[in-house]
Amino acid sequence: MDSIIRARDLSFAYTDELVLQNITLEVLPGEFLSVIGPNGSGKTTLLKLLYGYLSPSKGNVSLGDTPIKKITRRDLARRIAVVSQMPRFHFELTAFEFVLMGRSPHMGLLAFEGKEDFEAASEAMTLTDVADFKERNIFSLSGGELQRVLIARALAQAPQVMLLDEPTSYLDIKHQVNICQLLKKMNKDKAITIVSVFHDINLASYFSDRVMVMKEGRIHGVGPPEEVITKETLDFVYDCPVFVDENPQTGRPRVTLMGE
Amino acid sequence: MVATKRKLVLITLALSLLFFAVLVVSIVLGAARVPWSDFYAILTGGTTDRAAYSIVVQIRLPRILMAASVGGALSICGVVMQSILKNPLAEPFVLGLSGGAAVGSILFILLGLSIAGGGFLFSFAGAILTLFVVLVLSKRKGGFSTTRIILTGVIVNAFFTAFIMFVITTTSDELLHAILFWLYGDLSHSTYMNVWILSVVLSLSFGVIYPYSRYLNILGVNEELGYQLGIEVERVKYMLLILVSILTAFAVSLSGIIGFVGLIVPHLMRMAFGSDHRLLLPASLIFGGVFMMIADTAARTIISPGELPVGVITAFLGAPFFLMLMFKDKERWTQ
Repeated sequence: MDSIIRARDLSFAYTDELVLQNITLEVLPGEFLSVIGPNGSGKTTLLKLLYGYLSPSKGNVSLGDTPIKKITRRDLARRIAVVSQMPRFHFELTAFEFVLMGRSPHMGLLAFEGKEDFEAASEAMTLTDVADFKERNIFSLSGGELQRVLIARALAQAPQVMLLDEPTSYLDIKHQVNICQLLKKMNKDKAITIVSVFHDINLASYFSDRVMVMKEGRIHGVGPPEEVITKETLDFVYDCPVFVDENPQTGRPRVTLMGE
Repeated sequence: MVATKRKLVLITLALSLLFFAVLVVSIVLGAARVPWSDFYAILTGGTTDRAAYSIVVQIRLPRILMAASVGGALSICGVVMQSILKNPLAEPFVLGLSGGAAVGSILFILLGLSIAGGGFLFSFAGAILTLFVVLVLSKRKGGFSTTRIILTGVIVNAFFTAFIMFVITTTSDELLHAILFWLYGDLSHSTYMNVWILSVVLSLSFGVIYPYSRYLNILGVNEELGYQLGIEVERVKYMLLILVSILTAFAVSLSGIIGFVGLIVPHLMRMAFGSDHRLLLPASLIFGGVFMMIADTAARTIISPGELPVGVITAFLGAPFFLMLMFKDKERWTQ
């Protein structure tokens, strides 16, 4: 199968020090790929390179067969939706107004949102369990509520690919599972390709088709969870002893944290 | 509050009615009272007393129209600056343009030149030079940072303020009055020519800015979201920043430094109609005009037949009014 996102030999430096080195990655259409790795291993930077927010110092990224540099920002936004870590807001805005912004790449310059846009935004808010917050001021939402509103905005964008940066970091366990199930459902039903950074290795293990492990700006390994999520890999990559066994319910690797 | 075409039409209509009501009242009020009968006669082209005609058409009307244009211009500049710099405290003069214009204007006054339109040209040049300097100084590899822009603007303005204070403390009395009046906003020299210049520049600017309303909504959240939603962020940001700076330069060089209106009107309109620029921009344009006409009428009448600089009134009336609204609105600005 032809890959939907192709990163070739990416390197990136904010200043002099390379944050990413020689990353080559193929994301297959319709797959659920998780990215794990310790803080500062370059996960967020990689996502920013994949949608062209940052330009690589070396290498290139393509969407389908086209280098993303040759795609207009607007066309890119119609195909790729991004959920970054929490933004800080400066002006009053209702949750619904924010989710409606996801329709922007599908609208003309002077346009007001139409019926179709309202429906897409409402549906996205229902799916992420935030329909009750429509008229709430964005400042009044808790971290977890806001995170689900951010995901609703990306869903309203009706993308082919979703890039998510720790989409569950502020959520309670119920909503962690709900959001992952929702992503899985979008992935299965609407064939949206998912690339998501996770801190929780067990969520990555359970929901992903493939897991990519990063350390110090390089790819340490990519593959199905059973191959990548192993004691040897995690001990080395995170520099923290863990216990890995098979979850009897799911058959996926299960990680338990340990002291010394 | 979700912006719709219906709301846009209703808000524009309501504010336009208010605008014309205030316009009429401003014409009638003043040091020399114009009776309603005379006003009606002038309006319908009927015969009237020459003095009333000359007061209304040659003196008062251009000044009121100038006030309205300056108010509208500074208000939409404030709206755009706040969104692009993602800072609710931003206002049209945040890049230091007022300081640059003031230095230009003061140089003109000190040199005692008598060139037609020289005051305007000097202060316009001062403002545009300042814009150029601030943009060059705040540029860094790969673009501009909004924090650097704001800081550079504030520092450059502080430098100009020092220069202005130096001039004020060492200059003679008769020049001092002219300088001080300019520094706090002076509409008394308004001519139809000036009104034409500003209103044409304002209309053109508004026509360019308004289609970007939805982008301003998104850029007001953050620039990364702008990229994610398909905006050519750098291009849009600098095009709009330079455009509103040029509009500000026109306003400030034609009317002096009228503070506060570019900060307060955008916030009043946000309180009333929300933060969607598709409503916020036209509302600020019209209400900015209303606000300035009221302030100017107050400036002309409070110590009549004497006159106050209009910038004194905008802050004197605006500040308590704004604080009152802020205290009443408990949900806002709680973060």
